[in-house]
Amino acid sequence: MRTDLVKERMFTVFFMVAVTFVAITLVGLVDIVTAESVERNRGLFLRQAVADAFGIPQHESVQALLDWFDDNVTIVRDDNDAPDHFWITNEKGEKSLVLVYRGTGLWGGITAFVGFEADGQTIRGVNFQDHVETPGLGARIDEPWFRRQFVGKSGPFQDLLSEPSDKGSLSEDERAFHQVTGATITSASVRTIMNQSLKRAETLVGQR
Amino acid sequence: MAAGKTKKQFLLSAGRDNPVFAQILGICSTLAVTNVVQNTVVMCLGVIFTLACSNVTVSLLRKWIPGSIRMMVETLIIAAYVIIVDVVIQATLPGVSRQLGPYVGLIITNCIIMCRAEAYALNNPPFPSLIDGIASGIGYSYVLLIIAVFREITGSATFWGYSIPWFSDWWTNWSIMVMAPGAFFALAILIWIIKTYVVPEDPGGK
Repeated sequence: MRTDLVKERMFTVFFMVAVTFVAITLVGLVDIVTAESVERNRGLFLRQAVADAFGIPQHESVQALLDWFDDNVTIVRDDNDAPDHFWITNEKGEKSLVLVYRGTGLWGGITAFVGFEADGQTIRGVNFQDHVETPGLGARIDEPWFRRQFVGKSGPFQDLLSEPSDKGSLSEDERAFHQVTGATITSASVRTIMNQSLKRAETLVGQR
Repeated sequence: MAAGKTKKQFLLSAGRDNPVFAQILGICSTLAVTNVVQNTVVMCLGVIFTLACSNVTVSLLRKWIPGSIRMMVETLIIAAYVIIVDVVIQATLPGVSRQLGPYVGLIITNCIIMCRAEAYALNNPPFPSLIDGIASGIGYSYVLLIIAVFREITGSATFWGYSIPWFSDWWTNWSIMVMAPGAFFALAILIWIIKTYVVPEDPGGK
């Protein structure tokens, strides 16, 4: 009787180990097969975000984006080897800055790519990556009209205006932008992110 | 005969025994991913794939799985398939993967999958289990899609991310529809309509 019990227990342990082994092997194989394209996608997102913040939202092809990036962009990494800011040669041959600012939103972090003109003060473009804001509300900071309203301004931002009904005409006020209705906290977070980015840009351009 | 039985089982799993509106399972993901149609479609495909594969695997192993650890084994099998789905989406549809975020991983905890493995696949041969898995997945998917279409159109005035020509201009977005409570309302109304007009509950019980 006792040996039966031992056998049964042994089998249970053996079965669990075997299933785990098979499952891990399978997952591992799929991971190895897809690793290259996952990594490539990550790289593309980064390059796309930099291009967008620099004011080129769309390239003709993926290859055009890669070529543009390789030819014009210098990456400066932080202590953890993560991209910190980028120097980009603009059409006049001057160096423009795109910096990565990691701020906080309502539910979690918002990584913003903020691009500046060569003066380091005027915003050229903004792109928000890796945020977990509420879809349909805070996540609407991704929409073009919202991001476009920062272009050409140099802040610092103070007032949050209500969402415009006509997304074509945006505030001329240097220190104000329209928020997303129903996403007050996210909009206020964006204000903080933009103001902090402006300060950092000033330092970075000053140090150059 | 066999084909008729399969068809009957398929219709039962997707219809009268529908996981969402009859068994009230998988509500968490119903609320979370139905605010835009595109995400919902990807989520549904992931769930159908996972359900079908995990059902077949559990069914194939059903004679050997020791009773005391069967749930651990089921969870492990489900988790492996879900990770595969997650990695494949990351590799092929990076944009969608970003939007779905943690929800793909959460398919592991989707009660429908565990329920079908535990209640059906553990006691039935592989082929009927496959049919049950696909049917339950489709049953889950069409309910989610109905809710997603309704929520995206009313909440964002778009369909599949594109604005609708004669509609988006004058429609005022119902912000509540893109948030979780909106999904509750939509789901409740849908269940009400289905239970009243489509599959009325047997008043005498079973």
